[in-house]
Amino acid sequence: MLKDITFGQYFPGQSLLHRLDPRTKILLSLIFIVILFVAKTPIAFLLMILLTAVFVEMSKIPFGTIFKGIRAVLILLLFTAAINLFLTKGQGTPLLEFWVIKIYAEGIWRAVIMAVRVVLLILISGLFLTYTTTPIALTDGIESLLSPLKKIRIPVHEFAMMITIALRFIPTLIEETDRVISAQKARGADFSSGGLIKRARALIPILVPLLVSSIKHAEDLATAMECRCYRGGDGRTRMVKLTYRTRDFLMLLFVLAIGASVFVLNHYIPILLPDLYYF
Amino acid sequence: MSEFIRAEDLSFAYEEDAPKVHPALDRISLSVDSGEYVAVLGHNGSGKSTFAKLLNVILTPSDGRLYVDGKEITPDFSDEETVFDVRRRVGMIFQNPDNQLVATIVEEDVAFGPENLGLPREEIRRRVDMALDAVGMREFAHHAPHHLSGGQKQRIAIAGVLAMKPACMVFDESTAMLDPRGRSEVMSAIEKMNREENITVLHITHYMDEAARADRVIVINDGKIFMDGTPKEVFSRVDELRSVGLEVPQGTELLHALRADGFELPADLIRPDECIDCLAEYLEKHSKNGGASV
Repeated sequence: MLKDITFGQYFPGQSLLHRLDPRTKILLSLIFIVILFVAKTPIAFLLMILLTAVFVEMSKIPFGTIFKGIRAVLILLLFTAAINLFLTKGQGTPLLEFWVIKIYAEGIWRAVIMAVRVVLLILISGLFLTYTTTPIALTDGIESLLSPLKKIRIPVHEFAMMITIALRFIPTLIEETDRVISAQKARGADFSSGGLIKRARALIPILVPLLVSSIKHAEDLATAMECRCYRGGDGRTRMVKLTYRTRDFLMLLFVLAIGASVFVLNHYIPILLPDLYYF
Repeated sequence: MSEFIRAEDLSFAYEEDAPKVHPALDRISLSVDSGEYVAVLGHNGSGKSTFAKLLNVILTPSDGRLYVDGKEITPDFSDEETVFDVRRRVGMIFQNPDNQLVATIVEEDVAFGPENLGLPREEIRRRVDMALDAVGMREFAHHAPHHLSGGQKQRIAIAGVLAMKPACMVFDESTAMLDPRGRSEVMSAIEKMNREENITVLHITHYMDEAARADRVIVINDGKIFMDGTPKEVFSRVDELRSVGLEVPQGTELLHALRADGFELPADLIRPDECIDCLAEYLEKHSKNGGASV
C-alpha cells in the first residue's frame, strides 16, 4: 500500500508538454515565474491566467489532479490574502470601516493579485516540473543545465546522481519503514497513545534501525556501483541524450514574447498599484 | 581451454593489524578455465565471499598471487585503469537485489554499466536491449524496479552486468534472499549465461541443489580449499562434507543412508530425478525377486 506512493505525481501522457525537453520545461517555469512578478497591469494578469489555462488544457491532465496541488496551500493562500486585505493602507478613504478594520481598494487589489500570483505559480511549476516530467528526466535536465558549473569544479554530476539514488531508494525505505513498524508493534510498541512527547519518543525505535539499514544499503550500493565500473561523471556516456527540438525553441520563443509584451504593457497601460513593486 | 582465474597461495585477512592470526583466506591455490561453470560452497564465514570480492578488486590480496584474465592483482594494486579493466571483464551480482539497482527505470539501470564504460549511445541501446532479451525482461524495460519481484530484480541485475559484456560473472549468494520461484528464475538465467553467452560462471551458494547443477564444485572451509571436483565426486563424500557442517542434496543423502543400512545403491547420484529413477529401478528389480531385501 505504502509502496504505491508515486513521488512527484508524474502523470503519463503524450501531450506537447510531455514531449518537451526537461531543460525547456525548467527554463519555461523560471521565465514564467519572473513574468508573474514583473507583471503589474490587469491585462497582463488576464494574459497569464489565459496562458495557464491553455497549458492546463494542452497537458490533458484532469483538473482535479492539478487543483489538488492548490488545495494543499489553500490555508496559506487565504491567510496571505487576509493580511493583504486588512493591513494594506490605501491613500483614499476606506471602502469599508468596521471597528479597527479598514479596507481600502488597494488592499483588495493586493490580496487578489497575490492570490493570482501564488495560484499561477503553483499551477505552472506543477504542470511543467512534476505532472509532465519524470523525476529522472528532471534530474537529467538539471544536470545538463548546471553542467557549465563543472568548469568551476562544482560536482554537478555527483549532485544529480545523489538525487537519482535518493529517488530510487524512497520506495525501498518506505517498505523498510513498514517492516520496522510491524516488528516494533510485534514487540508491543505503542505509537498511538500518550501525549506529543511520548509519541515522538515512540518513533526512536523506528528511526534508529532505519538509519542503520540506510547506511548498510548505501554501503552495498556503493560496492555494486564500483563493480559496474562507476568512477564518477568523467568518461561516462548516456544512453538517453537530451536534445532540443524545434518545438522547444518555439515554446521558449512564445513564452519569451509573452514576457516581453507584459514588460512593455507595464509602461503603456496604467498599472494597478505603484507599490506592488514591493511584492 | 584457456585459464581465466589463477590463484597461487592466495591469502586475505580482514584485520589489518593482525593479518596472520585469522585469515579469511589461507593460501588458496586454484585455477578456473574460461567457460567453466563453477559452484563455490561453504558455510557462513568460510571465506567464499571474500574470494569473490578479490576477483574484481573490491578487496586486494594480503599475500600470494592472483591472476584474472592474465592480469596480476597484487596487494598494492592501485593502477586505476587496470582495476577498471578487470571490473569490466568480471561482473558481480550480489545477494540483495535492492542494493544493486541504481536507477528508477529498468532500462536506465541496465544502461548504467555500459554508460560507465563510455560507449557510444547506439551501442548502449543495442546492449541494453540484448541484455534484457537474454534474461527475458524486455517487456519490463520501462517499469520501476521496486514494483518487480525479487527474482525479476535479480534478473535485471544480471542484465546490467551482461550489458557490459564480461568474460566472467560472479554470483555472490545471488539466490539467498529469493523465494523458490525467484531462485529457479535466477538459476536458469545463470545457466543461460554460461551455456549461451559463453560466460565463465562462479556461483557462490550454500544451496546444495544449486551447486549440484554446476560443472565443478569447490568447497571452501576455514579459508582453505576443502574439496574440488565434479559434483558427483564432491557429493559422494557425504561424511566429510558433514564434518565441516555442510549437507548434501536430499536424494544423495537418502541413498547414503540406505547404503549405510546395507542396500547396494550408487554413491554418485546428485540430481533428484537421478535418485528417483535409481530407487524405482532398485525397487522394481528386487520386488521381482520376491521382495526379500526390501
